[in-house]
This record gives sequence, C-alpha cells and structure tokens, in this order.
Amino acid sequence: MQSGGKQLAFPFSLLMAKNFLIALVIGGLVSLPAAANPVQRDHIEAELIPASTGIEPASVLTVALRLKPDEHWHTYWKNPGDSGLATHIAWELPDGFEAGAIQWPTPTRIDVGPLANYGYDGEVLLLTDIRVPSSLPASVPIRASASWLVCEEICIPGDADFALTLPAGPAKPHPLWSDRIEQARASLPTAVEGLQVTAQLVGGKDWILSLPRSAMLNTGKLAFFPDEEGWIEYAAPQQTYEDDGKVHLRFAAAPDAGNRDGPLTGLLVADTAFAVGRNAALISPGVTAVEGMPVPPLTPAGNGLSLLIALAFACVGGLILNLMPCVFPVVGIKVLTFMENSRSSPASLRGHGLLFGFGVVACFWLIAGVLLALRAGGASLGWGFQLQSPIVVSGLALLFFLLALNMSGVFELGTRAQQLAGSLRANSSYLDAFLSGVIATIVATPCTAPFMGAALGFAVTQSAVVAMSVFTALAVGMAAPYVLLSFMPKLVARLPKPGTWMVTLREILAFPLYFTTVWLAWVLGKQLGIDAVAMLMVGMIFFGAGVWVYGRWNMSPSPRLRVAVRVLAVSFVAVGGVIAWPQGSPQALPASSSDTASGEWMPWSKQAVSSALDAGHPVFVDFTAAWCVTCQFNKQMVLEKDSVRERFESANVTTLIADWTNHDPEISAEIDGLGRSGIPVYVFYQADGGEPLLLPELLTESIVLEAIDKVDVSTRVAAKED
Amino acid sequence: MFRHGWRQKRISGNRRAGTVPVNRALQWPTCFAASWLLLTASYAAVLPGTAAPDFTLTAVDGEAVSLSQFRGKYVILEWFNSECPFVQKHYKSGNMQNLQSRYKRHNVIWLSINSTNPERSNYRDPQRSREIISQCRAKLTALLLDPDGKVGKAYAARTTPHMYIIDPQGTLVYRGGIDDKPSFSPSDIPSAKTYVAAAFDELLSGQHFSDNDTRPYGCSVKYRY
Repeated sequence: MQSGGKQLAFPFSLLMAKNFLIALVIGGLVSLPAAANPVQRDHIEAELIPASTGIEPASVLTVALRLKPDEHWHTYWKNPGDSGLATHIAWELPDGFEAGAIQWPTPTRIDVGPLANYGYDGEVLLLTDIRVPSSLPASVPIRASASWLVCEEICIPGDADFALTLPAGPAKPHPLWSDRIEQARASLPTAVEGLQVTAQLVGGKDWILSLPRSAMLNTGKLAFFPDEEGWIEYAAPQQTYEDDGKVHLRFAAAPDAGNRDGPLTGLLVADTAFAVGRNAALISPGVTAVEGMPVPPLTPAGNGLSLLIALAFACVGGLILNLMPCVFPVVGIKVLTFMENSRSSPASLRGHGLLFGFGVVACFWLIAGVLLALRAGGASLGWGFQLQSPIVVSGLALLFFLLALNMSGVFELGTRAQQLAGSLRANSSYLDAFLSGVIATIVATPCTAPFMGAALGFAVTQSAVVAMSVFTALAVGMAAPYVLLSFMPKLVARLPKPGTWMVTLREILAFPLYFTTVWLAWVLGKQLGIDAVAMLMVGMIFFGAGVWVYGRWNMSPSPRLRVAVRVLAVSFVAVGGVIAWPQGSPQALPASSSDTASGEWMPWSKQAVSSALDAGHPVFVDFTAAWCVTCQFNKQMVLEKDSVRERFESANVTTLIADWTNHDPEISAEIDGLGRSGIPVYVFYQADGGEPLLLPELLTESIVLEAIDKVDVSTRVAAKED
Repeated sequence: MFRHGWRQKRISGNRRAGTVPVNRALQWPTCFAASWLLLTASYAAVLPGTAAPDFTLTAVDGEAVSLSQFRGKYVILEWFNSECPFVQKHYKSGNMQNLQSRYKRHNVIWLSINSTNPERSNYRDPQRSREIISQCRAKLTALLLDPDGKVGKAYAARTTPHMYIIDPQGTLVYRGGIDDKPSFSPSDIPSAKTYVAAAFDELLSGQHFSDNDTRPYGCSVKYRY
C-alpha cells in the first residue's frame, strides 16, 4: 500500500492532511536520530524499532513494527478471520536490501458477537528480517509505510510512514529494543520437528486434526488458526478431546472446504505446550476426506469439566447411587452380609469390605470397557443401554427371582450348617461379597444419579484412560460406605447381634426383590409385549420348581437321591431358561407415550421439536425409558402432577417424550448432543432460540415450575419483539 | 457517513447532546414492532447455487420490502454500515455509487442492508439513515434495516461491505467481497478487480463465471453482542 498515493486521494480530508504533515515531520526528524518515531494515531501508538544500532554488510537486520493499541483495542493477524484487515508494511529500502515477510506472532481469537477475528489484543511486535548486501553506504535509510486496522467495537484504519537511519558499522544490540525483539522472536510460532499432525475432513463438514498424545506436554486445549480463507468456520467452537493415545481437535469446516486443493495450512496452538516446549506450531497436514466416520459429539460449552472435578462428581454420584430406588433391594443383601460377618475377625471383615468394593469396581470397569469397545466400534450407545437388550432384562428378572426365592428360604446355596459355621463359610462368602458388589452395580447403572450424568458425559468424550478413571471414581464412591464399615469395626460392633431375627429380616428383604422382578418383567413387556412376559413367568415357575426341588431334597442323607435331585433341579432351570429366552427383537412401541396418562405428550422427533419452535411454542422433552426407575419416579411424582400439567398447558409448552426403552440411534445422538450419556434427561427448548435449558436428573415440582416460568417469560418477550 | 471528517463529528455531537425529535422517537417502536413480518431465514450459510432465503425488512422510508417481490430481476444485496471505514472507502470514492447507477440502467435491484444492532454505537436510526443516503448520493433501490441481525445471519453476512447477487429465479449466484484488494485505501480501487462488476458483466453477457464465492473484507457486521 503506497501511503503517498493514498493521501493524494483524500484531498478534502483534513485529518488525512494532518496525517500527511505528521508523516512529513516525523520523516524529517528521524532521518537523523534513529529512535524518535513513536507516532500516535487514533487509539494506537506505532513505532518502527531496530534490533541493532548499526548495520554490518552481508548480514540480516531485524526491524520490528511495534503496535500498541489502547486497552481492549486490537490489531489483526495475517488472516484476520471473519472481518478486519491484516496489518501491512510496504518497505522502501536502498538497492540491494531485501525485506522478508512479516513474521507473525501467535494470534488470539477475538469473538465479536457471532463473528470471530484473529488478532492481537494489546501490544505486538511485528518482526521483519531485512537482508543486507555486502556493500553499504555510510548510513542506510530504512523507510516503511505501515497501515493497520485497529478495532474495539468500531474500527479505525491508521497508517504511518517511518524512517530509520542506521550507520554502517558494528551491529551492537540496540539498548532499548534488542531484548524485546529477541523475546518476540523466541516466541514466534515455528514448524515443530517431529510433530505428526493429520487432518481429516469428516463428511465435508468437520475438521479433525489429530496428533499423538506424546507430542503434548500436558492435557490442554488446542486451537487452530488457518492461514487462508475458505477452510474453516472462524467463529465455530473448537473442541479438544482425547482417545486411544491421541489428541484431537475438532471444528467446523467452511461449506466449500471439500473442494479445496492442497494441505490445511495454519497454526496449531496449545494452551499448555507441545512436548518440545513450544506452544504454537506451523502445520500443513495433507487432507484426508472421510465419510461417515463417527464423530464424537461436540459437548456444549460449559461442559469442559476438568478431570479432578469430574472425578469428584463421579465419586459423589457413586455415593448417591446407594440411595437410588433401584439399588435399594441390593442394600438389603449387603446389610445382611455385614451382619453375618460382624462376628468374624476384623481382618476377614476388611477382606469382605474390600472384596465388595472390588466387585463394584470390577463391574464398572467391565461395563466401561464394553462401552469403550462399542464406542470404538462406532455404535451409538449410551449409558443404561444394557437394559435395552431383552436378553439382559429377562436374565436379570430370572436372577432376581432366584435371589428372592433364596431370601424367602425356598433353598439355600450350600448347606444351612455351612451358612451358620463361620469358619467353613469363609470362601463362599468372600465370593458372595464380590458378587453382591457386581450385582449392586448392574442394578444401579440405569439410574443415573445427579452428578453422574455430567461425569459420564465427560468420560465418554475422553480418552480410555480418563473414562476408566471416572468410572473407577464412580465405583469407589458407591462402594465407599461399605468398605468404610468394614474398616471401622466399632461401627460394625454397634450393629445388632445376629440371631433368628436375621432370618426374618432376610425373608422381609425378599419382597423388594420380588418388586424388582416385577419391574424387570414390565420392562420386558415394554420391549417385547405381553407374550414375552407370559413366557418369562412360565420360565420363572420352572426356575421356582427347580430350586424348590433342590431346597427340599438336597439335604437328603442318600447321595444317590442328592445327585438325582440336582440333575432334576438343573433340568428344570434349563427348561425354564429356554422358555423364558426372549424371542424376537424389540418392537417400535408407541406404548410409552400412551402410558403417560395425558394425551398432550407426543412422541419425540427432531422435526416435532423444530416445528413446535417454529410455531412459537417452547418445547419440553422427557428422555425416558421403561427401565429407568428414576425417570418413572420423576414422571409419577412431578411431571404428571396436575399443577405441573396445567402450567405446561398455560405456557403453551409442547411436551414430547423420547422413549429410549429400546435402542434408538437418533435419541442416543440427541442425548450425546446435550452433553449427557444416560437418562433421565429433561430439556427445555426456548421459543426465542435461546440456549436449551437442561433440568437436573432428579426433578421436583418447583424446579419444573420455575423452568416453565423462565421459558414462558422469554417466549413472551420474543413475541413482543416480533 | 464521514466519521473522520469535521461534519460527522459535529453531527454526532449534536445527536448526543440535543433532544430527540418526536417523529424520530416514534420511529424506534415502529422500527421494532412493525418490521420483520416474515422471515424464512435459516441459519445455515447460503452458498452460491442455492436458493436465496426470502426476507421482509423495513426500509428507512418505512416501506416493507421483500426479496420475493423482485422475482424476475437481478438483485444485489450490499451489507452496509455508514460508520465503517471500508464502506466509506467505496462511497467517498464514488465507487459504490458508480456501480449502483451502472446496474440501475440494467434494471438491477440494489438493496443495501444494515444489520447493525441498536445497542451498538454504529446504529443509525431510519431518519439518520435517510440523511446519510442522500448525503452520499447513493443510488439504491432501498436501504433496509435489520436490527436483530436475522437476515444478516441467514446470509452469513460478516463484513461491511459484503456483497450478494441473486438471479431472476431467486438463486444466489455470487457472495463475497466487493473487490480483490482488501484495504481501506481508496487509491487501491482503480487497480482492484471489482468482483461484483466482473460477475455482472459475465452474467449479463450470458457467460459462466468462476469467482462466485470470494473473501469479503471490511468491518465486522455489528450484530448484537
């Protein structure tokens, strides 16, 4: 940009004329001493500064344009982003001198409403290397015309002409500027040797940059700044996530990015550092276009839980799991175990406590491992999915039925004598402790307690190691009270002495298990219909007959009879298993919407949400499933209440049910998109297009009413503005 | 319009210090309530070759203007903000007015759209906008105000100026910069390739043109923060 020409084009602008005068004056002044040139323009101070006091022949001279805008004002990077303009320098140098390009420092992203700019908030030094020829005049005039755009809320273009005169002679470091310039040079982004970055364009819509985890010093956030227009959506969020030893950065591609040639050139910035110690790397990875690869969901802003917080949440969530309705039956088993063991030695007690804890942990690991494996396989699954399989549901129903019969005293595993003799029983009871930990976990998982959802959502988008840590924390939280009890014999000593009352208690605790069995049968009914439930019940009768035969005659003194009884018992159970084995696959049932008593609840679909929003109605979505006890609890106790229903109606809220009883990829994706991985999820979409409102997983009437008030107000405001 | 000139400073000083005339005060609610009757704006970016989203906005003279009413004619959309130095570059130099009058002869509709939010300091109300238009002798079909930014976002307009050409069938055929020299200096205009003119010359002569999606440059559109 030629400054002189430009000023002639503004013959009527007094301000420009003033600039011209200033430039002339400054030009005249600095042609003698070299450092008298900071110029003041609107909202910015600009200066051309040299790194040395003299110029040596056949060397490289570094000169920097120092731009210091007012506080909160910024200048721009070479790619200014959605708007703005890069700072420009035109050099006027003696023959034989050659100025290189501006060496741009790492920019920051500056968000302006829905747009994003790349630039420098605050002072910046723009370095240029000038190649010096071998023969020099005694003093060398270096002239530069700089132009820039400086913006805060509004933008003001500025320009200035600078002149430095440096004597030919020893290039001593400039007393004022040499350090600053060297500092700036040291932090310039460079190509980082050995940094292997790949770029994938997924479905033409998303970029995923990937690099080995080992290339990063610490876990942190990455950001990518493209050199050129047309590759990325500048203002879209960029998300860092890890998996399988790799760090990925995902962000939206520009609509036409798929039609571009060449590598994705730009700057990759780490908020911590790369392994080599730098935190900005020039990269230029070749582009691989990928179709249909599963893209991990972008978690909404605010879900950037740090690992420690997620672990803490997970731990607390695990603790609360013990109070969830679906864990309650198992609590009975556990309490009983402790009672029975309270007579044993403290060491054996600790052993039991730890084994129970280990059972919980192992089970969480197993489920997490399966979840991670399935995620790696691209299956779109979420937490609680294990109860989407009718086989798992039937199996659990039968298992709980057996446990209940056992607690009712229909049969005993091992002999009663063994049960009462503490010494002999040690082995099987250690196994018991472990297994009750496992069972507690299996039953608890569908109830995602408060806190657990966020922790799981975090875990699912993270690397395997992080996900495993979160799951472990959940397990530890859940097992903690029992482990603690086993380590505090005093507390155990306060437990009542064992006696015949324990048999009574045990038989009483059988009843919650029967209820659990009924619930599981109901879930199966939701999935496969009434016939499947009938078959399951017939299977249960066979199971019952089998264990009854076993319990009735297993104690017989005749060894032959005992063998016959066991064979008979096993065959009954086997026949029962075959009969109860669920046939067919889950049907697409409208059942769940009809079981929600009121007719106002409509089945969920993306279209249903958007058409209701288009019509100006706020939308409430209940992500639920028959097997989710917490969901059913919320529905009965809160959502179905007359006061809540009336308020939904008066605020014109469209209420939708997303039924996840059976596997549904669309619903799974939606839950992922909301940053959760399990249900219940309750979300309000506001008619004015504001952020969706997520409600906690355990609802109360006041929570829901307040949320309705909130969206109702914003709807009315939006309606007024229209 | 002339942010750096004496005149602008005086005018804006008056505006801040003086009382708001009654008719202007009335235009605020009018501007809020009566406009934006119908918007089929989707927030996906509109690419050349796809249908241009229809909109209805209120012009600074109070008239409601819809894109669809110009079906059958070429329409140019120009994102406008009188306070932006890049807009000033093309108006003070007369470049924009030249383009406007050149295409007016070809029956082309020129709609300038100002998506500045009223909360932003660059907002100019309808009356002030009318003054600005007449001061700079713009040859527009209409200057439309889009204070909530819906139309701007529907077109993914990000700078002022940001130019769009819509063909008589309602298809977007060009989006991008006014020219290929991103600067605020009017002296760059003569040597710049004016994309809009190039596109039109080729369109009107029935040729195919390739530069249909270019980088816009300028101030950011002053949407609501």
